[in-house]
Amino acid sequence: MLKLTDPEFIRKLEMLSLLARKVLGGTLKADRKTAKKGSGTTFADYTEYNFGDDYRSIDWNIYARLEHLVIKLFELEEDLHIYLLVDFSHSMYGKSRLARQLAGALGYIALNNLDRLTVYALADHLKPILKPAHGRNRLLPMLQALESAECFGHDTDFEQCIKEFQSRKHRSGLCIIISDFFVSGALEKSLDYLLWNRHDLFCLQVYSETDVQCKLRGDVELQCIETGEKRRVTIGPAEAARFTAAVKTWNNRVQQACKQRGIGFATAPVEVPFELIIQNILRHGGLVK
Amino acid sequence: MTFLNPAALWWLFLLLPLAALYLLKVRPERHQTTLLFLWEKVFEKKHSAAVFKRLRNWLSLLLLAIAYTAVVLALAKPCFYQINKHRKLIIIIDSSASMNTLQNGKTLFDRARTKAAAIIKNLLPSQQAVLAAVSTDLRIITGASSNQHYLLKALEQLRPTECAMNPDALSFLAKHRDFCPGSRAILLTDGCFRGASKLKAVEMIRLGKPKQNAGIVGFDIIRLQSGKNNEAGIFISCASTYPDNSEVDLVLAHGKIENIVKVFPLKLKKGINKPIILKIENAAAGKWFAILDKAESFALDNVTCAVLREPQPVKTAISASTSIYEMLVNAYRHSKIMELTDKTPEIVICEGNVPENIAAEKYIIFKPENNSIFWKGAGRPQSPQHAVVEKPAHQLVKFCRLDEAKFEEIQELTPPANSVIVASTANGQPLIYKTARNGKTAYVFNFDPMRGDFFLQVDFPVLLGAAVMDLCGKTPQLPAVFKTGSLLPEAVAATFNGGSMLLPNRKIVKYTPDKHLVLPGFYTLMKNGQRLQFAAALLSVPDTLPPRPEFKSTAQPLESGIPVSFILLATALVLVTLEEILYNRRKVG
Repeated sequence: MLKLTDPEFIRKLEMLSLLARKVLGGTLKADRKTAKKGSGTTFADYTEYNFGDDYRSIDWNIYARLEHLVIKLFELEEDLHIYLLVDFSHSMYGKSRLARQLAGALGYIALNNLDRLTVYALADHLKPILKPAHGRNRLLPMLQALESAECFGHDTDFEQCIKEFQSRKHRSGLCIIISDFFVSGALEKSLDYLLWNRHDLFCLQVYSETDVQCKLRGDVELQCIETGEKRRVTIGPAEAARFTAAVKTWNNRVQQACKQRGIGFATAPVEVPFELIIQNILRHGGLVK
Repeated sequence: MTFLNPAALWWLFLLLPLAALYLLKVRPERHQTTLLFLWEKVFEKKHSAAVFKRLRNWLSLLLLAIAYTAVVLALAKPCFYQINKHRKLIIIIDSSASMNTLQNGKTLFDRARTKAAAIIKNLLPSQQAVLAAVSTDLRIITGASSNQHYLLKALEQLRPTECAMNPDALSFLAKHRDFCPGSRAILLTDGCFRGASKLKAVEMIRLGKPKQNAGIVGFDIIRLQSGKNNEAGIFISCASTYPDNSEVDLVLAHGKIENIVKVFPLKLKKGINKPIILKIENAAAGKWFAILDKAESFALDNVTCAVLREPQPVKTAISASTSIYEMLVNAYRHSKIMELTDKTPEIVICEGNVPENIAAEKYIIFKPENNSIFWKGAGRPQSPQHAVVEKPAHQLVKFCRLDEAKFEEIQELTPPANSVIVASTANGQPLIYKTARNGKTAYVFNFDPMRGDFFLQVDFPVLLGAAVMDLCGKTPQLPAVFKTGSLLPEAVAATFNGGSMLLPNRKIVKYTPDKHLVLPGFYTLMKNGQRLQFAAALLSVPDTLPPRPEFKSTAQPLESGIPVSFILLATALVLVTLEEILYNRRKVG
């Protein structure tokens, strides 16, 4: 199994970072354009002078021609806050490896672009894995933190985690949620909450084939991996088909919720190498607006 | 209900550990899932079947427990009536001709075999059975054995005969039960024989139902000495069970069954009909058939056959001082029993001693004198004495009353050792005996028939005629047809003993006097150039007239049909299959 701190893994991340630079077309400085106007060097627009505006911003050439005071506006250039919310509940058993790899790759790209990165673990409550970090010197600690993170909690309370996340008064940024999205709470409500707080969202659904296809037959005792709750059931072809349909419906619901809110969404089967998934995300967009 | 092998019930104690093992086995496998909330949605619609699901394991366990109990009970061999398990069974199958009757596509004999097989299959391990078949006689097919395979194999090889049932054979069994003491004799029969009610020691199981039948029960044909052109007399007796006067054609054929000579329309009444007696002119000697033209389930009695013989007079020479013998031979000439001849006689009637001038192989010698190859020491006459008949049933004397006559000129003599003394005197002197020496056979009459006026008595010609016929093997009582299963008369048997016999099925076998005529049809006996053709047919009233419906089975309860153990095992198999389906549903879905 490839560790997150293995040179080979890091080499792969480097390649992905180069690809990201090419695709996203940014510079090495934290020069991501935002919608905010500020004191940058790039002209953005004109606006009427109002009392209190900086005299230095008045375009006197315009005033000479039009006898009307206008001031120049410049684009504000600032670093991007990227929040990785990784599902570390027990339901990610078997899938957490890919989730860590994906989180590592995205975190690597973010830190390499001098963006500010924060990593949280989701379960029945929110647990910080990496405090807000900036700069390439935080790459290895980030990977080590992801490597050492353990699954925890008794449930995946998505709503509670989002509430806790927002209570930390975070600046708005790009929230990347890596989860299987098999959560019992109100997913849509949580997404809405994040959007309301002006976050850009991207959902990455990690799933395995056993989640989608039921190969169990006959009398079985099903035990919830998170809560330990048990149930004796008899699974025949009809029940298996119904279960497959229910999973499909659930996934469609998650996908539909993202689509309706303009949230980027991608799926990550555990059978596919993480670099291919990242390449696919970078090439097809949706991660960065 | 009792158990014949109660020790097997101990196996029931294994039921509890087996149940525990079963419950461990059916415990569902545990699987961890992250999607229990989705499974809840899948199964929330099926709450109605939840009770059944909860009880399903217990239901399966119950099925298996019942199946296991059934197997144990099968091993314990339950029995629903009191039985002496050590008692032997003598299974006797009626293999008489009437068992060939077809009923619902199967012969009664096949039914008997099926029933016997069922009885054999229900034998207890320690119980022995003897398999026997009865028709003209009782044949023990197997000795006492508990080997079911051996008994069933022997049963499979049994075939029905075409002979009538001889109830005396069963009477013999009833009287001589000592060879199998404490046994039960079970007769599987259709009841077509007389004297069934007398067979108290034999339990009878009746097979089949009485069916309507008609057949020929008597047939005879003889050459009439009426002086007309080859006239033959025919006697036919028919019997029927049809309630109304049923019309049927009676066909007479000669030579082959296709060569129809005459057809009589008959109206058959219920029971034995009045015999038909008729004369036919220009009736050729040889094979004759009488056919009742009616299609029936029992057809063996619809065809019968007989042989019309041309009398062959015995060529007789006489060497005696008196003419009384010549007069007697001439008297027999009209009935073509004897005729006088001078050349190559078959038999010589002489007085005193064997004549040297006439060569023959058979002699009738009266008034013996001196020594001869047929006696020694004649020459001391005895006083007149009455005869003491030693063998009253002998062919020679059975129609005579010799004990009333007084014989004179009895000589004191010693017959050869192999002689058959038919009659003697009170003091032990042989009076009439049959003897054979050096290939010659003789009847020696140790008296003078001319003395005491014996020659005037009616017994004298009868005695002489019987002696001639007996010596020549031409018994006058040889019928045109014998009943199947019967033996040939002693005189014929003695003449052809060691010869060959052509059977109706064209096979040639060596003839011995104990050979029964088991097949209907024509036989030919051959020996030393002599040939004798005769016929055999069923001609049995009990076989033609089935028993009345009142004839009931007398057998005590007997384990037969499908064995209880087999039913229990089959039940167990069904239950296990059912449980397997349930188990498969649970485990495979």
